[in-house]
Amino acid sequence: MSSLYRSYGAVLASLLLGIVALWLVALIALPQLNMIERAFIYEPRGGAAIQSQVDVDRLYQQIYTLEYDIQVLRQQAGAGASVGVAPGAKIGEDNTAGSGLAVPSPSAAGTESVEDQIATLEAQVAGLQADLAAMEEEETRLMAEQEAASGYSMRNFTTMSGLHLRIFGMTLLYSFCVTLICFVVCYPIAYTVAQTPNRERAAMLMLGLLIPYAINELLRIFAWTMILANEGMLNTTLDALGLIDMAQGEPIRWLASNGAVFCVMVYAYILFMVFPMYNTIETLDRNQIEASKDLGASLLRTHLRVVLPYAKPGIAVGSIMTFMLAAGSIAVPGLVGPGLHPDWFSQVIYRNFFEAGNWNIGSAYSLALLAACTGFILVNMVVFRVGIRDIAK
Amino acid sequence: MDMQDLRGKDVELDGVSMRFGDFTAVEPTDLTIRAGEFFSILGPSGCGKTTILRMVSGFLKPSTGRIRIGGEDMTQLGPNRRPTALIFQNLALFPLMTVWENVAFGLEARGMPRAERRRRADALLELVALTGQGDKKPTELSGGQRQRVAVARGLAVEPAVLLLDEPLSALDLKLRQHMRAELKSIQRKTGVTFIYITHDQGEALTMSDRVAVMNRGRVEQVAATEDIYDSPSTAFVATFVGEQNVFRGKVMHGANGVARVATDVGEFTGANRDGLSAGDDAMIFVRPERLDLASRSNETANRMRAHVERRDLEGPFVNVFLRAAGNLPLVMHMTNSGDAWRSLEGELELGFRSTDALVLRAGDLARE
Repeated sequence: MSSLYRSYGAVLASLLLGIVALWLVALIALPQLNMIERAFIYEPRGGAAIQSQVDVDRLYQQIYTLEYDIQVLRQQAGAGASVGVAPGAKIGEDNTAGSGLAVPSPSAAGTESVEDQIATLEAQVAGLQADLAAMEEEETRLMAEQEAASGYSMRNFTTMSGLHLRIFGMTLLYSFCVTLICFVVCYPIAYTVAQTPNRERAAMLMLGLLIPYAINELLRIFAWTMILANEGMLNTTLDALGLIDMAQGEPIRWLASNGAVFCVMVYAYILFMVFPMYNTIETLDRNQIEASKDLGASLLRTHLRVVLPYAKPGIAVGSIMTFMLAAGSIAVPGLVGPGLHPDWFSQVIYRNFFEAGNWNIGSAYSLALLAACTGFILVNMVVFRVGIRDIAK
Repeated sequence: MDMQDLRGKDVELDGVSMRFGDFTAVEPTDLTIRAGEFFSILGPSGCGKTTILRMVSGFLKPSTGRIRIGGEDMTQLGPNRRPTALIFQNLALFPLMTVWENVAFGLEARGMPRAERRRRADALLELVALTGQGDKKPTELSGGQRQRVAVARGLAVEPAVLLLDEPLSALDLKLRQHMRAELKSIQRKTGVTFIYITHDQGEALTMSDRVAVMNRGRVEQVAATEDIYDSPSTAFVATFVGEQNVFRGKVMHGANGVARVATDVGEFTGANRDGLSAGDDAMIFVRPERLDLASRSNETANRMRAHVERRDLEGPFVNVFLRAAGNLPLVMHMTNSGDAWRSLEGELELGFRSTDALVLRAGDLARE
């Protein structure tokens, strides 16, 4: 801190620290805290309380309508108009029919005296009002219950459906598979590039790995959908080779499979695995590999005992990055696996936020994923026996 | 490990050469290293000595020629199939393994059970005076101790030939001198053939039974250490090993193993090792310790005058730097036997015995 002030001066150093602080608070701490808070706030939607609220409202409306009818009848009686369809009767009829209550139609009872009609209606109102009291009591109880349920609780997590829980587990498993495949693919690449004595060739290899990353990630994924689509390049090639016959309507369905998602993910995240491994293996003294060979070790033993242990921090970092990216990827399963069932947990989170509009559930699911990923990091660090310091390197 | 398990084998290079593209690192070379000897290959950097070592260990395939170890052709075998072990310049210990695991790594590669490996590793650590250090990591040891771990690791695979690539160059002077004795004694105890690569003539001379001196991809001379120093066969060897005063000239007449050479400084007589005859370009080499004040020598054949420039006291002896005619620099070593050297000033009359001077065909000199 003091060295920062010494090298940049008070104004610039304060500005830098201010920007860093703002970044930490506004872009990391606050959104994260907001998400965590939402995750623990249960927001009841629909359910019995809302239903009873609607029922009570409807009852009120019926009572008002009946009272209006009574009023109209009284006016008619006062004005001496003996018969006629009361303007409010229709409304009353509609409403009573709608509510399913057995209210005698005023027009049907045209012969009755107005006084009788009024008496009947008043009896109905009294009946309804008696119901209303009970229902309002019920509503208050349900609302109180809901009130008690909302607020801070674990309900967002505990109410996760069995299907979502399965998707959650499968997503973690799939991400682990992607990480494993990525490692298997990347280790030989990283080793070859890092141990090539010809630095120019190593630079060219690295450039070759980097070029695809100059292209937007979505385009990179779309490129794969073009290859894997039913009428895509892969099927067309197979057709041209005579291995399948598309005219007979038998293209192989590559998309919407976990294989396709794995393949595209490995391609999309290869660099995040190669670079950390390359960085560690590059610092491995070539003489150690030669010494191992000279002492009679086979290629496999040399890698198992000398190269891999040395590359552990790089493998740990690469695995963590690949796993986190795979577990959180929305674009790859979204574009490569439309129709995939069950889909990935990231898609479930997405739908909660942007389709169901239920940010609290979405936050809870995100938090669960974050916790699982953090757990993966910790397990990784224990398994590879690397500290946070090694990873920072 | 029992010492009886170890036995040195001879190494034979038969017309071995190495080319990298247009560059010839090692000219076709015949070289025989005897079983159980301490053999050094001495030369300046880039002379091809490391290339020879890597060809013997199997990391490089020679462009031409055959390499035999104990009479068996090893030319096509990889490093893991040869009865050799290489000690790297930077030792290349495995940093993540403990000392004993390092030592036992070669045994592990041979599928030996762990308990047996441990037992052997401990025995080897005892041999190199590191008893009880087996559970440490290499980084916890001192430079000299790491050195000995590397030797033990090499010996663990019971090699017939141990190849050492300037392993002492990273150590400080005191430790280096100590390790010379250590290596020598380990070699004596085990009887394994040691091939030692170095650019340090002191190391080569103190440890070796025989030395090969290399220059520009060619072996200039192979001889016992004392012969390398006292009877160098080329101008390069004469000047690379130890210090020399060099006089260039033409042979006036040469006969009976003696030649008389005319130089800018004067006419000198010396041993005619190359059998030169009148008119040949020649060089006369006189060691600084063989150059003396004319007043103390009764030989009159080799006399010259030189001007004292500087006197450096080295302790037991004094280096006197002089200039002779034609601006030729000379060095004279004088034993520090009192105050005599303090009075050396101005023009001096110098001389040397003809038997102490060597006349060789003119050739490359070692660069300082």
